[in-house]
Amino acid sequence: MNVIEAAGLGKRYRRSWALRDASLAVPAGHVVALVGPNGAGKTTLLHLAVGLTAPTAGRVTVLGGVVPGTPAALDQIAFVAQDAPLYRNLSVADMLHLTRNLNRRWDQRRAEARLAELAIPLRRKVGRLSGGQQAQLALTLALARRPALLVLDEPLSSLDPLARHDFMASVMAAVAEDGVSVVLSSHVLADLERVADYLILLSAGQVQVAGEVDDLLAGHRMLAGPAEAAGDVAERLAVVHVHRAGALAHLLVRSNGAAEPAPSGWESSPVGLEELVLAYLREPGAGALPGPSARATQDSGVPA
Amino acid sequence: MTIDKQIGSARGPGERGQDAAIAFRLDHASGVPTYLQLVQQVEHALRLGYLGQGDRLPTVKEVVSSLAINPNTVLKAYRELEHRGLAAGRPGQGTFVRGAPATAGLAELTTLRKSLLAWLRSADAAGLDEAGMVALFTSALRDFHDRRGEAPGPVPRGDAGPGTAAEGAEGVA
Amino acid sequence: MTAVATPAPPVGGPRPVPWAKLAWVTWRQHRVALAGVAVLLGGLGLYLLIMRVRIHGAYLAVASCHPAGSAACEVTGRPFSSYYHTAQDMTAILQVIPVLVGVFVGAPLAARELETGTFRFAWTQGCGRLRWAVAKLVLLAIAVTAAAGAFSLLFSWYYQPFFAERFDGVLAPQLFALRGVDFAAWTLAAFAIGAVAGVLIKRTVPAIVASLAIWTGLALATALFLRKHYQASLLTRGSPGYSNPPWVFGQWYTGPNGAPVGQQTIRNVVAHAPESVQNSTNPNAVTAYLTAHHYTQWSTYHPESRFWHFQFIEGGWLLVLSLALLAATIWLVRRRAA
Repeated sequence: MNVIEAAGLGKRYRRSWALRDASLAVPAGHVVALVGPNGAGKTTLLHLAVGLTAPTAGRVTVLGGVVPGTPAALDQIAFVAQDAPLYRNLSVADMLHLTRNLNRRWDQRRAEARLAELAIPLRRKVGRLSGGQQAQLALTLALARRPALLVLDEPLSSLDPLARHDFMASVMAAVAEDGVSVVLSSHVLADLERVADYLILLSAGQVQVAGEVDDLLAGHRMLAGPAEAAGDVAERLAVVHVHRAGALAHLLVRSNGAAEPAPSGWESSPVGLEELVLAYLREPGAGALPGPSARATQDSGVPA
Repeated sequence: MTIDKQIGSARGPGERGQDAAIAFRLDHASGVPTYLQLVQQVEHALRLGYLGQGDRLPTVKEVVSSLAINPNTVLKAYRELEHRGLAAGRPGQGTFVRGAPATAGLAELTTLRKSLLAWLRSADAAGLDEAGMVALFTSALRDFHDRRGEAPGPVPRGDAGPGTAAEGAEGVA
Repeated sequence: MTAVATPAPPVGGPRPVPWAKLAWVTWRQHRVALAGVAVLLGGLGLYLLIMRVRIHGAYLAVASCHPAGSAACEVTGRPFSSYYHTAQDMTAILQVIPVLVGVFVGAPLAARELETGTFRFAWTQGCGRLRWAVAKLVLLAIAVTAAAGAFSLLFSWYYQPFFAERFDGVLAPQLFALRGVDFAAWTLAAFAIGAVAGVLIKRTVPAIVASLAIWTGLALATALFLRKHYQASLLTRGSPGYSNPPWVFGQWYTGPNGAPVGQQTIRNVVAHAPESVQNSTNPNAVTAYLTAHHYTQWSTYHPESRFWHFQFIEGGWLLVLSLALLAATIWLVRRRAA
């Protein structure tokens, strides 16, 4: 089952397209990192997936074909928007009670246990909690709904490093315990590198890269060698990005994995996720999308 | 690389049975894939005697709660340990240490250590500094593996390169 | 690589969240506003209660005084008259109660959620935004309308002595809107205007301001222009009798040839009247003089008996308007994008 499926999905606000021609097939049981620069369309994509907004073009379905925003979708998807919106003048206990009354499925025991573990007092008003505590409360409310899909929009952006770690640890523990699928967005990839096993890279409203992290890393290599020979390599291999420094050039290429030997005179090394993402961000024309053969479908050539 | 040994580590509610005998740490900057770091920490603990037969490894939930990593990474590591014969899972109870990596006896270790120190003295006399010694050793180790016909370290699907780096890193530890 | 199991979705689709739970949510989120309404109406109601008890004595004194209109009775009636002046102040204050109650409960309903971003929480919960909106709007509408209705009953009881002594007619504009079904209807309309303004404007304070302005405009337009057209008005010579004070909203004079003449003309004619007529103590002397000179006074009016008829007409169209606005609010909530 695909937790999110999109075909030609687009969203226009007034004159400009926030998201354009997005096609995705995100499998269930993964932790999906949605990364991209600010304004790339991450929030728009997430809002379309949870039914807060409707597409201008194309279509999107969730959890195996359900239309977002319908009762079936709302029941199974828990969403925490950016900055974890909560009712600030309610106490924590009241927020629990309120969320319980807005949902069909609710695990009160689990919610209270989590809050006790996190030492968040039930009587305190939400507005008096720290940023990290509010984020954890929002996560607690989402998880207590026992969703099949958890969607988090930039959950870490306003948290200090310790709060960030604790938040992600909580999310991962929930994945380990319940098997919930997670989609989370960030404009800081480092936050998500260790937790994500599926990556979607959005840039300027378009999906540039989408695929399992293991496949992406296995399918790319970094070649180091003489700059003047870069053009020759480009004719034989799919080069994503060239970085020249004097006589030395680094090429990010798509490959079939370690089995393929590096061209003579070139040194091959594996590429990390952050390096991969940065290279694609620098090459807006390049893409790595899972086509029918689960291989890259576009070729950018070597820029001059 | 250090091992944290936790006695009486914190238990989640409802967890019965013995405490986990080891707690993992993560080195972000090492370049070694996460799952491999976990495998290496278990192997290292076994070699040094911190882990013994029948000891319980932390549950997936325990590991991800403290390290904030993907549960699949932990599963991958535990599968690798099973593959190497070092651990075995018992359904409903957890993953437990099974065997120890083939290692030399105490007397052999002492002899090997002596000859290694002698080699280091010769290298120092020849003018090699520490980095030079490390580079020489690493390259010789690679040659040794190549001649034996083994790929350096295990090569699971999708992780060709890191295996090389991992062995190199471990040699430096 | 799906190594951890995914939970199975529930069989047969989700049941909708029961209305009782949404009722708790509505109350919990709006209890401050509702408490404010209760304090306001309760406080005013208590005041009316106390005053009415005090008026009772003065009223009995006036009612039992004979002959009415004599100088002695006028002295007896002075306390009652002063209570009447206080009642006028009260009436003026109460004109704004419907709009305050309705707008301050209705406008923040959607506006505050949209303004603070909490709609991204509320509208992604399992109950869905449609049920959420319907529950809140219906429950709060009923609450404010019922409270207003109860209050206007209390007001009618409070004002009864003044009607009995013919100090005012029931159709008087400032009193018509405080009694019968009108008070509750105008409160409901204010609520509905507030709700739809909140969804459209998406910010609480501007929505409140806009709603106040719209409601006030509508209320003034109705009182000044619309209400008199609910039924064909009656026409009579002179002034209609004051035994049942009607609502007179038009008076003019016609000249000898039957054409209407302005007030200035009448003043000129009266200025040429003999001193005895101008200074006469008989209120009908001037009228008789004008009539003798073929100047006729005409009045358009609605008799008091039309009170309930008008109440139901006005209450009816206000109800229809409110329901339409509430439906529009729900439709807009459904459509509203992130």
